[in-house]
Amino acid sequence: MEKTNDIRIGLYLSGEMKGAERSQFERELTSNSDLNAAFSASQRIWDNTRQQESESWDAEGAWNRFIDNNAREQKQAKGKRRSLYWAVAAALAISAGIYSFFIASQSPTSYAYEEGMTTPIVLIDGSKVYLNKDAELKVYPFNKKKRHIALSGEAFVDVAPDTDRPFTVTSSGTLTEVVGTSFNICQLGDKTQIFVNSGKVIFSAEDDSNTAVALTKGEAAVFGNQKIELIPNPSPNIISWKTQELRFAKQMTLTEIVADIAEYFDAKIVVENENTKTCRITSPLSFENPEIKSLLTIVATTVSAELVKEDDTYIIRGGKQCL
Amino acid sequence: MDSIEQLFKQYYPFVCTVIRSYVKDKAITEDIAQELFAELWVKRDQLNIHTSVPAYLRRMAVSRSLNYIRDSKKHDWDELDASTESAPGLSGQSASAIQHMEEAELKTRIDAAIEDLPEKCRITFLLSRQEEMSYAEIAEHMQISIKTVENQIGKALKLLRIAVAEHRGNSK
Repeated sequence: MEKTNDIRIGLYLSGEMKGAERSQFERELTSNSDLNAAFSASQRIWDNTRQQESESWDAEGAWNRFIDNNAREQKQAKGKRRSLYWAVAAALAISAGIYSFFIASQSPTSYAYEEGMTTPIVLIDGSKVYLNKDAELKVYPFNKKKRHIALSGEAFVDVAPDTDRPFTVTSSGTLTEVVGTSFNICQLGDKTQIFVNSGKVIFSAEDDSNTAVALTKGEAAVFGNQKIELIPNPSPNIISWKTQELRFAKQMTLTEIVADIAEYFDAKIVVENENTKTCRITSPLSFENPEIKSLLTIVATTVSAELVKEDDTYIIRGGKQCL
Repeated sequence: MDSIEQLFKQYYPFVCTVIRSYVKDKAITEDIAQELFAELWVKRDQLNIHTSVPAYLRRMAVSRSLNYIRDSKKHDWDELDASTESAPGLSGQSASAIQHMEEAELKTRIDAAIEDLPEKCRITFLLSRQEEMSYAEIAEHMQISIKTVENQIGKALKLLRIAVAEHRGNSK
């Protein structure tokens, strides 16, 4: 369909009209007086359109309302102590905010684990990243096409679904691509291990998409020596550092259970009696916010052993041979 | 003092003015501005701004305004203004009246005429003129076709020429 003169005037004034079309339009302006009149009037209107100044705005009153609303939310979420200090905290925190305001670059924002960190880092799309001890996170600026982060150490990532923008994670030579899921990724020496808690991820070597494997809920894989291997029957306790819950499935051996506990508490635990090591528990156990001593006492009891502590090592001593 | 307070107080009127040009209600404008600064506050650690602060705030204000308008409508953009397709043309005389109008008077008339444009037309025009968005960007923001953007801008200019020349004595 032929474009009307009104449409062409709009295209011209807004700078959408380019090249030959533009020259043609300019030629027509000199020869077509109707077009010229409509154009000149439009151009004058265009040039004199200003930011419409409406009412005056009460920034002072609005600020008080802002402080009120946002300080109260903080208070509800975190208990009473906070609100008093909130204004002070705001002043301190915003200096970091202002800092990023004025940095115009593609460089990533970095985060590191801090002692006692229990809340996730919430990314701009709503995705959450929980960092485990010594972990570091780099968040590259998200754009319309992609969301990308880089991790070292161990982290649990809960990705906000967005089918238009894949979420990718690089972690020591691996590339994980996800579309709305949660998973745990961990570097162990020169290996990288992934455990999928929900949804589906594509896990591959960073520079070789042929290695890609699709993993779904409850599945785990490890990358090392340029190869990806699936981990059969991964322990559900891979994410216990994040969930604060230890779960032991039926048929797990004492060795496996103790390994998970040692990992969780970062403790040294020794099973002295060789005969008890392969004992399997006969019913599933789960512990929320476990405390190491009582947990190990329960575990020791299942094999009729006793728990002793020497220096900083827990020892499961004695016990019967299992069936 | 570098603080959110300073940022807020410095830019609050600016943000409101931008929102107000899209959203006609003053109270709603202030609500949207509050939400905008709250979002800024929550995301303060993740902000990565590649433009100036006012340009960034401006984009936020526009996109929040459009979201509000979209959410508050029961109808699609396309149903908002089916009428006014065949407005009469502009006589050479009116065009010349616009050419010779005194600038202050002209600006006042333009303001009033823009306020009176059909909503879709008005917003499309402002996104182009005020935000300097390309037609493709406007189409994306409003979730309409580029063809529709072309039509709406053309229509806006036509309606503005008529309204400014005639000046129907907008009282508001």
